[in-house]
Amino acid sequence: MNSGRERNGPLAVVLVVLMLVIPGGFYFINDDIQVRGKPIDVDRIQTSFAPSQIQFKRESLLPDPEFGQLFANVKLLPSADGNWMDVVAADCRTGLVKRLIHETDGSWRETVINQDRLLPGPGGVNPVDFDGDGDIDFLVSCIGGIQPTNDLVGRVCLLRNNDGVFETIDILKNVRRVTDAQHGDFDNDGDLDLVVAVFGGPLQGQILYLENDGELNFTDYELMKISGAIHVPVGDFDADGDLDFAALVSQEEEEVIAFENPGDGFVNAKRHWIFSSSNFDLGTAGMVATDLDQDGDQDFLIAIGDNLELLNNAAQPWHGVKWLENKGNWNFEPHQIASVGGIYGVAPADFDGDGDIDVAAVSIFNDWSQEDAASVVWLENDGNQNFKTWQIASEPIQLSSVACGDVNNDGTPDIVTGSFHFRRPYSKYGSVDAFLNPAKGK
Amino acid sequence: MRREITFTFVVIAIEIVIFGAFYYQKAYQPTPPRPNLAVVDSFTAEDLTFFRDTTKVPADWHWLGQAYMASGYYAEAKATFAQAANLMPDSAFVAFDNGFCLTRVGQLEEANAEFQRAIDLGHPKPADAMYFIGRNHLRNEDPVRAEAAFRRAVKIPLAKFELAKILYRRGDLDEAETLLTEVVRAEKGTVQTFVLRSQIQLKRGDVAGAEKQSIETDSNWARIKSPFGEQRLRLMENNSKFGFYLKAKEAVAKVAQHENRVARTKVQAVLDQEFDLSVHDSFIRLCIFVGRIKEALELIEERIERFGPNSSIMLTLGDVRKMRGDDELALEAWKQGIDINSDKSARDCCKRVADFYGSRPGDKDKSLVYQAIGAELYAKEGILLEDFKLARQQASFAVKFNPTSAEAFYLLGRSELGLGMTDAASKAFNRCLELEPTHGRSLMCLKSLGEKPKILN
Repeated sequence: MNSGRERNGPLAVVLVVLMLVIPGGFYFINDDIQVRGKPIDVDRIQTSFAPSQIQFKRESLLPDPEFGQLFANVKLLPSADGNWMDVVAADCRTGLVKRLIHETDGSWRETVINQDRLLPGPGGVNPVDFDGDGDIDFLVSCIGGIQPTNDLVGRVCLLRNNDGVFETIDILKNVRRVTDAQHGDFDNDGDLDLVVAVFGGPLQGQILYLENDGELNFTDYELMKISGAIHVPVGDFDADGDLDFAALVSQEEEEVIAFENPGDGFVNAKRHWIFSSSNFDLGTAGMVATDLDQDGDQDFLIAIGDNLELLNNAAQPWHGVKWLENKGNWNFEPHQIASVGGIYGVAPADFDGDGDIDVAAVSIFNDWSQEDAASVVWLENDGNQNFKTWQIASEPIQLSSVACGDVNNDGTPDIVTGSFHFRRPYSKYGSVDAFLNPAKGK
Repeated sequence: MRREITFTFVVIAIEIVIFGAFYYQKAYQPTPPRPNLAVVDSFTAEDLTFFRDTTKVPADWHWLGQAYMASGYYAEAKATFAQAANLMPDSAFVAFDNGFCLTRVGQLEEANAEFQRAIDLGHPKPADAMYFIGRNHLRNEDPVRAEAAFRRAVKIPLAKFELAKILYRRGDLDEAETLLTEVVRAEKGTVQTFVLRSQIQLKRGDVAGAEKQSIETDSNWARIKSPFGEQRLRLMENNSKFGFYLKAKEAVAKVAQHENRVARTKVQAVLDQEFDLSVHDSFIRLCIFVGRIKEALELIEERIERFGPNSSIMLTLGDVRKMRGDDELALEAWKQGIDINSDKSARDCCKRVADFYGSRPGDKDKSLVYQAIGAELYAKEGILLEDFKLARQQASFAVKFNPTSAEAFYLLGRSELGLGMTDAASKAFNRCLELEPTHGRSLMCLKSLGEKPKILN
């Protein structure tokens, strides 16, 4: 018995030691255990889409930039010989309005229109023969600079064409940040008047009507004191033969207010709230008028994707493109036709040549941490206003403006984008870029 | 003996199983998500990597979620907060942060469930959580549920304001106005209250009343205190606790402390990563302070190249050119600075130009004109800040030395209107309109005085 006990003695000691060492050892290594598990899954809203079956070809119209560019607006206009289209771009960074001339060999040449003086943050530009002398002038709205401010920095300027030499004329100043100015002969007196969106500071903005006396003297009427007016597209929305306009109001309202022209301008205009969202974080960013369903009346396309309230923006599920369908008698029915993060600009065109109107859209605030996040998409119309989203590009990123037209005169509409790149990531820069739609049969 | 040995074996086996399970659970526990760090600077990437690799206990998950969210990795933050919430199911703070993050990614129902959980767990700011629930219902285009939530959060003036806004949109103008009055009592002179009251008056058909409220928005900029603002501030604070913004903060502090050599190294390290305006401005100040004028000039030019001109940078450009003895170029920069903004820098540009001309014989008149332009800018600011006495003093100076400026007469009238001197104000507005018959703001102010109402409805 004793010998057995003696034989088992060392084993017993080892076992007892082990019994104590296991918990103690675990206690000591507990903090140093290397974690080898898998990263937890992350789900995010859709940031990329099926690649476009139309092979758009990117062409940079300006030299590749080394840092973020601030082109707030791009528009197309016929080139001097009428064969191509030129691009006019509002460069908010430099205070210059640039015309990119499409040369006959297909190359692009940059020219500056406002050579007499810099403009304070040009944010919108419209080519128009404003003074009726047969040449193209440029109407420019100025936001004063890219930093938000309550200062009276806004301006509306006319770059008046005097035989090819442009003179900058202040039409409106001493107002807060101006985001859009649109023209039309609203009072039917033969000259062009203006409607102006004064976006304002945090909560002080206006919608103005500027009546032209024919000598470029304007009487300004404040139609509404409201903050966040972005765009004021003009059109005959009630088909009564005169020009009306609608104001897209973002900030803390998220509404579209239409102003019905009684025939003599907007001094006594009737207002119609044609769209209103209770989502005060909707993030409306732009609006254009177009007859999307080709039923003979003017509808609206709204870009939704502004998201600047935090240092880092986030794409939201409600971002994308809305179509306000004109049902007549100032009733507009909203339809979400695409959901893409951070959409800032939209433009209509028939890209696939099937006779219906498609839509191009650009994103400023998609989730750029995803390498393939879409920056340019087009929405294919099936003819019944059902839209499929096709991704054209994921580079350049942070685009704010888009225009469509047949840039290279090949019979198909192309897309031109303006880059407004001022946040992370500081890569994939663009400036003014064209996405050329291949001609049919090529 | 055999029995004891057997017992010990069993105990050891149980220990191995239990501690092995613990080890396995710990070693193979899920790890935090890996964001694409290629889109941020290397300081931030390094710190986020460190936080991620050292995430072990529940509190680490909570912090990592905050760090991801502050850096804009919302999807990763959402997953991280979800894990934190699993590990700390009783933490009201984790539930609140999770709710805020879910809101940022637009998962509104889930966000509201988390805010409600935060309330149930005894979060110290239940009304804030309820306010966010209301806002999320609004985002979901559900004003009915939003109204119910805001009614439960009326302790917060902004919740009361949102409620008033819902009621205004619904057409319940009386209750909206009553609530608005209560908001004004809590947060006097806030701009949103004037805007909404103006909208209510307009809906009632009281155009003159609406206009009067509208005019108030010009000089009342304060906003109602917002729970969102508080969270935004928290995010920004978190942002400056690590990565790029921490380095930027340290660099700017070193410049302010005049530790020039260290500051220079730190500033350059930050700017090598990203072009940060505040750090770059600090670098300019540093170069000027240590007498590196040529370098300062290059930095100013770089800044204008990247972000365009503003009054502040044009003022500095003029000053630096002046230091180099380029007087005419300095004058050009200051003059450009006057025309861009209407802030203190623009006024300082005016002063520099006025002083410049004042020091040259024969240019005294020019000096006075620029002093008058500066006074106009000062008057504008006085009006915006509701310091009408100062505004009137400056506007009086402006009209005296620049009597053809319609804007100066408008500013004189506006300041007199603010002081209740209606007759004098009317006179000034009329003088403004003599000089510029289409001056819209003068017409509007005259209308508010009940005179010649030319401006519309």
